[in-house]
Amino acid sequence: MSIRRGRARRPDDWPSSHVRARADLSDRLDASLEPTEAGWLADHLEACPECRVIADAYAAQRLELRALRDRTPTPPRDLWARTAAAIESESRFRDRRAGATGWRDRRVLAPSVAIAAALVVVVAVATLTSSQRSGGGGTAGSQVAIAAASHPALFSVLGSNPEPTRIPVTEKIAFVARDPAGSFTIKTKNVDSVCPGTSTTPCDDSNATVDHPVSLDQNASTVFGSTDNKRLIVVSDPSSANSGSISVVPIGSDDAGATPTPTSTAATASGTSPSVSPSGAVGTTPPVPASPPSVPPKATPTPRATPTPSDGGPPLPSVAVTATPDGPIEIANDVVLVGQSAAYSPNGNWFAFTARPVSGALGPDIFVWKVGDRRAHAVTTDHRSVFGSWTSDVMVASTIVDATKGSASAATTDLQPVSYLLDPATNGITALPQTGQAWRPAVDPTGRLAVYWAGTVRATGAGYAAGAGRLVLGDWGTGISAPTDAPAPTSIRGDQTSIRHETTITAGRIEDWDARWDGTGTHLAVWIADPESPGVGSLSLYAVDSFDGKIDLKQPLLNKKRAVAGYSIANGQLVWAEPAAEGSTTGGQIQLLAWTDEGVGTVKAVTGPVIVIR
Amino acid sequence: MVGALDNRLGVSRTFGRGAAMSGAWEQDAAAGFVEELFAAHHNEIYAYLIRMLRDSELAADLTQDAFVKAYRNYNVLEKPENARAWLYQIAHRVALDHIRRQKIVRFLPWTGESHGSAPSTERLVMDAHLSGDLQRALAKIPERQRAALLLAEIHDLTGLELAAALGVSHVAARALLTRARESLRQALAVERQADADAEAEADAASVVGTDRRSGTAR
Repeated sequence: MSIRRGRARRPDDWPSSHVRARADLSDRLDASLEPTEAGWLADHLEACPECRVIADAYAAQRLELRALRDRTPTPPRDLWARTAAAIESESRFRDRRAGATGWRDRRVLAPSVAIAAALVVVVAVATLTSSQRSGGGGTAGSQVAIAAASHPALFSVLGSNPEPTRIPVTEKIAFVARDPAGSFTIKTKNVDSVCPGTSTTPCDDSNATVDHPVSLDQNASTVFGSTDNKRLIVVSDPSSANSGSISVVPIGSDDAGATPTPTSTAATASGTSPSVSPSGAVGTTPPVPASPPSVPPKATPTPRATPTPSDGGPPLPSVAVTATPDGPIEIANDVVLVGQSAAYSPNGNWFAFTARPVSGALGPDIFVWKVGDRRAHAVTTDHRSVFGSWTSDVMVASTIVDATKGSASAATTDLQPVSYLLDPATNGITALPQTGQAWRPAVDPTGRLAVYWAGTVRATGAGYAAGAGRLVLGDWGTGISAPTDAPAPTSIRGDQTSIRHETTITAGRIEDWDARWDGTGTHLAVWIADPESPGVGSLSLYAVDSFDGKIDLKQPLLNKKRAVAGYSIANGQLVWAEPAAEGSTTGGQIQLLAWTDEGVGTVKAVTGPVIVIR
Repeated sequence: MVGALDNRLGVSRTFGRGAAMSGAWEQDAAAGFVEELFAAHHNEIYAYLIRMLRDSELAADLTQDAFVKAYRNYNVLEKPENARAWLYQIAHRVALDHIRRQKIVRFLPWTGESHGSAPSTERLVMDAHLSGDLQRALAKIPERQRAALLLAEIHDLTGLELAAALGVSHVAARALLTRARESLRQALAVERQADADAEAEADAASVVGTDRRSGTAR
């Protein structure tokens, strides 16, 4: 091969003559060096025995690499059949997205594709027969389904129903259901297929649910699952008498422990509640962090008192749970969860949330709970900070600065958001002035994109809400930021929309939203609360095209489905709850959207009062 | 190849984003084009992916993904003569995407079960059957450098093709190759030293065993 040479480097470009020699030794394997450079290299090699060794090594490893050409691996014999079926599926999926109905004209693939797919059917049927004899599993069955879906004409051969074939999936969903007696129980359910498409009424899933030996009382309103499935974080219903409590509920984690009947429950009593930690904790006296978020002089938030909810008397119980070896732990009390962006860190060691006192006397602060601790702790005390998301194992947080526009009597003050990184382990802050006006960023796992509010913020009675601006998807690459002791105002000069390549998800009045990415950063779900009833809203799902890394917001996989607050997104699945009735903020039916190589499909899995475990 | 394919299909291909074809016809053309691409290049794409990832089943899955993406992005290819490099570019991105996802701490849905982290049996078998210190050394150098070496030395991509496949300028591709060769040299040295140490240890153990059996005191 040959490498076209770029601009020749000047001799003084190189950090050392040996580095230059190594580059020349590599280059000369691909193309002849220019005479001057070849001469220099010859002289250098003459004087440098180590470089001669390297020259020999490069030549030898090239021969070794080229010897691998003779060992060409053989692809699986069914690779084309699989690929053709996938292309066929892709083609149908495009048709569906384009609004086509029914089976499309079967012209997409050449006749050889049909033959190839038919071969898959034959092989699959043979394998199925063989596996049935040997008691094998269902893989072959899946192959039949896929191949038959590709070529419906084959249904007549197989004697199958000519209705659209379900897409095989292996998903498991978890939720909290309320039984007629009013108590809540954790349930899981396997889903092994979904119906193609998302626009029509989803089909049913008939698999049974499995109850788990933990139950919660009727005060639970929001439930988060841990990444290791060993505990739940349960937020009490703010409308209940014992509102304001956030508890960690250890659970049995093995399926072996699942039973059809929940075990008896034991209320969290004052005697079993953890004591207030001496250092201060949520619901008692949040500590002042080592580096509390503050802002430059002109943007200093109004000083407010550190929240000191009552610590007199025992904490009120929020959940009643099955007794476990560790028992439930009330990690916060007398607080109200603010916003929807609470989440575990990727390593599962921390849980971050935004909360304010129930009394409404103070604004929001960020709290973290470290797995194993007895209490959650405030990590901000400016009463203006909110948690956005995690990037690696550092929080992306936002606070608000007062920005004055105009002068003298014509001056007006806007509340402008700025974002910063906050390390839960050290309370260290890294300012992100280069991210501009960005509030509550939900950063994707690769750190490349984020969903955030680009605009001003307005004060509400209980905290802050989006003001004038837009909810956008924009570039997030934060570049290199030095640790600092305070968030910094934006350093963006010019049009933030164009600099950050922002695309509007929605504009206008927004009370709340919840944007989350799947674990690979290829799918983004955005739930936007109704302005009049923020407990319910509309949920959309978008896919990142891995070819160009872009998200086409005009082509959602799921478009504005009605959903109550709180959904779960993970690799390959999105689970949400439809409202029980028009105007209701109670989940009434769980739906699953799954995406695989075969396409996207949905099922309705459970009907009844339900809470999705996020 | 592509021109011949187009003639055979009777398709008047127009490449580029501005290409306007009716939906069904475009899909027909795309499918036919990808079928021909598959026939010509699937062996080398599969070989590249298996060398990058050291997992035959995964390589097959990603080969399939690469050709589906080629189908999906058919109208992005502007010059048919670049089809091979374009295909490698897709395969390269698919491979790097997979590697990147593997590196991200995966968020798993709450399922009520504990997640194990033991390597799969297949992975253990694959690791046990690596063919020699060269492949072990290749596996240890950064993915982009590994890709550059594989594409240049084994898959014989020319300079501009290599740059296109890697998605970088030809100057950057050249620099990447230089770094890759040096990384591989150092990784090979480490592997071979480890092999030599292991052999010496085995020889020493063998001698001790022989001495013990013969009752020789050392």
